[in-house]
Amino acid sequence: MKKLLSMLLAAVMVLGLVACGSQTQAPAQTQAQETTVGNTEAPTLETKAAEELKAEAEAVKDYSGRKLSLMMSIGGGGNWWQPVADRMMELYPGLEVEVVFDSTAADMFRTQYLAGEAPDAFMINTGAIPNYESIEQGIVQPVDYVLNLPTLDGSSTLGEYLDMDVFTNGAYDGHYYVMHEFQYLDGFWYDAAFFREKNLTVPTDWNSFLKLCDECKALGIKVMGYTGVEAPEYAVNYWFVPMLASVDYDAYVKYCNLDSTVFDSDAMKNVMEKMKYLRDNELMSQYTIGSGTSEAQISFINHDFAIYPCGSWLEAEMADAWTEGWELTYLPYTFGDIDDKDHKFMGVGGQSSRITSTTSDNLDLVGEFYRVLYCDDEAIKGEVSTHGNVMLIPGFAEKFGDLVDASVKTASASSEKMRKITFVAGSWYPDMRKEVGNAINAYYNGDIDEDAFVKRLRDKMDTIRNDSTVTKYNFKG
Amino acid sequence: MRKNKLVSRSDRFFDGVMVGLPTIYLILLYTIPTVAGLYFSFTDFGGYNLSFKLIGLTNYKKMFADNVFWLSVWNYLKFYLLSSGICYPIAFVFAILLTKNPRLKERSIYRILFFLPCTIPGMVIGLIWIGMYAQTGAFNTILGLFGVEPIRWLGSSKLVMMSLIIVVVWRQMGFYMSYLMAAISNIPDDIFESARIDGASEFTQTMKITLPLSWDCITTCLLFFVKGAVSLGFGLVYIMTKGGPDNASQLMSSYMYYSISEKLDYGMASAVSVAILFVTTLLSVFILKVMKRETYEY
Repeated sequence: MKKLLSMLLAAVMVLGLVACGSQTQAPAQTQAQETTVGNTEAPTLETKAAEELKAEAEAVKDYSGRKLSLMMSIGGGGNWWQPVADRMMELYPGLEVEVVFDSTAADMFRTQYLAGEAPDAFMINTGAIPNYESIEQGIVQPVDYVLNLPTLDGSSTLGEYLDMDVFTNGAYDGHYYVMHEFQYLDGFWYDAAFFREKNLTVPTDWNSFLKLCDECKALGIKVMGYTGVEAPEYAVNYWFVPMLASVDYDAYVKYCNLDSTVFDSDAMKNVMEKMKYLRDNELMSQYTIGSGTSEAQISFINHDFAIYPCGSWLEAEMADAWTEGWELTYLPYTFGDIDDKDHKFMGVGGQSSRITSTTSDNLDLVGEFYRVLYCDDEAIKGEVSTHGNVMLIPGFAEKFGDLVDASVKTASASSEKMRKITFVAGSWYPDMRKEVGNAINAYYNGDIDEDAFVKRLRDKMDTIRNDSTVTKYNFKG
Repeated sequence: MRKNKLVSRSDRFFDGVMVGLPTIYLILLYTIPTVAGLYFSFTDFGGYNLSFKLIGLTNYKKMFADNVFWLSVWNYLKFYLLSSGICYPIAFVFAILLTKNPRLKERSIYRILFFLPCTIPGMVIGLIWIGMYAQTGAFNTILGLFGVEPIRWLGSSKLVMMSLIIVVVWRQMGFYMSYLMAAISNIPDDIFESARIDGASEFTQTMKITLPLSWDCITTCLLFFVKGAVSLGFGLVYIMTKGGPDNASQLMSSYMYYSISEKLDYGMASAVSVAILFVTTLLSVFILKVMKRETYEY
């Protein structure tokens, strides 16, 4: 009797839960949504008259007795907020700015957020708290108000002052949600000294890339290696997707919009030919398939392969490992007509921070923090000396260019001739990115062939597109 | 009469405390989280926003429709069976050697040395073995001395699981060896003495006396490892392979972690945790059924 009663109760519970989850009552968080993002349809920011900007910039602000709390996770860039915080406290005596810099910041943040005590702003690795997930869950505040603030000298708004291209990463539903502070430049990296020593061709298009392949093969050198354990990031973000974009940008737009006809396109056939060439001629370092980041990068430093897809944090991250004579140099995705800007891409990943929405009572302080971060020379010198990368401010190269890492200079020097693209779709659809990474590993392990590779990607894309619980984004390119 | 009543009351109080405290502990740290996890598995809880909703069996449907989930279940079972199948025989042999060998005076030192890996956290173990398995790591360097090309221990989908199992066996062998040594030490010597008088060889004594009388201990160790494989396996996969290459080393626990880390989908992660509970419970029941035998008293 007891067993029968227990089974009946369990059945009632299950049926009740199934009824609660009927399609007509799908909750907002899991209902399919569409929103438009992209360079051509960025959210509209305010324009202000010069007098208004000046008045706002020169208004006296008294923050004494107040506290701004910030949180950062430990990463390749270091604690670049601390110099800004110190400068802000100099500018506003009586204000306390606390920066918590911790490797467990993601766990700390979640606990604090649930307790209603989250920091006012946070910069936590997007692998731990993805941008779009944090937006969808309502954790973060729109930052339009920050971008509408005047620069310190009142000459413009921050939105007019900054290079806003990369801000499309974090644009959602007509607002910006993410502040991008400096650019990680993604691309291929190589040792210029090694290339000179071995008389290797520095590729400027796909023809010269294939020439490099032949040269490496003759010398018994692998052309490329990548961090296989993190293939969804390294192989996908810094190689596969930019390769697709540089072959045919429209194909890249289709990929970002989950249009699986991209896999039948000439562009994809072109990409597969190149991948096949590397595999058939044993030009891809298979040992890196099982390598973590440090291991793959040590192999790169040891010249086990010639080109490594990565971001511009590479020099700082391996600071103690570079051997004498190494000339780390950036090679953008210039695999098209060298004079055609549309075929010269610089991959840009913004280093992003976000503002907490539901618990921050200090939005004015956060706004002021960003004004100092972007506009105060002392603050900029302090933070750039820490992270060593390019900031999204005009005249950066002239005023602060000497502070960046040497390898980053090689990238920023050519950036004006390039189209900057951010690979946002990876963060929209992490399952797609993971599948592509897995498929690349399987392909170079010899476990699958080209047809199986394309089929896997197509099937995964179709699954995601047909999954009504996954928010869909409309990428305009 | 009055004295008996007082003793009885204090005994009852003591009994209540001794039963009550563990019960409260069990409820707070096991029952409530388990029920909470079960509840969240029917929601779209993302880990931050408390305005989540019940979504019925959606998480379970997605989980069951995902080939990677089933692969992770199979990988976990393979991981458990191969690890325990290799680890316990070795642990048993070493336990006998260290317990039954009267000429071995340094058995305490050996016991400590074999037990040391268990004291190192799983993630640190992972970092150490990444170096061991590296292209220019210890194993490949030794192989190179014999003219063998470096092996892609963690990069090959065919080898990665066995590479992780080797790490587990290395780490856990000492722990289970210590357990077995305690069980073997508890067997009275006169049983062995009688067997020797009757002409039984060492091998016969092991198979007919030592093994049957330590069977309960072996069963307990196997049950311990059901949970150990989940937690240790996660640590190794997280540090060493991230479930790759191509999900060849994806375990249920790492699959669950991916739902949290990259998708902030605590609802789905909770569903996977329920699946883990289900699979480990079934495995435990299976072990108890298979290992059930007559209990010998001595």
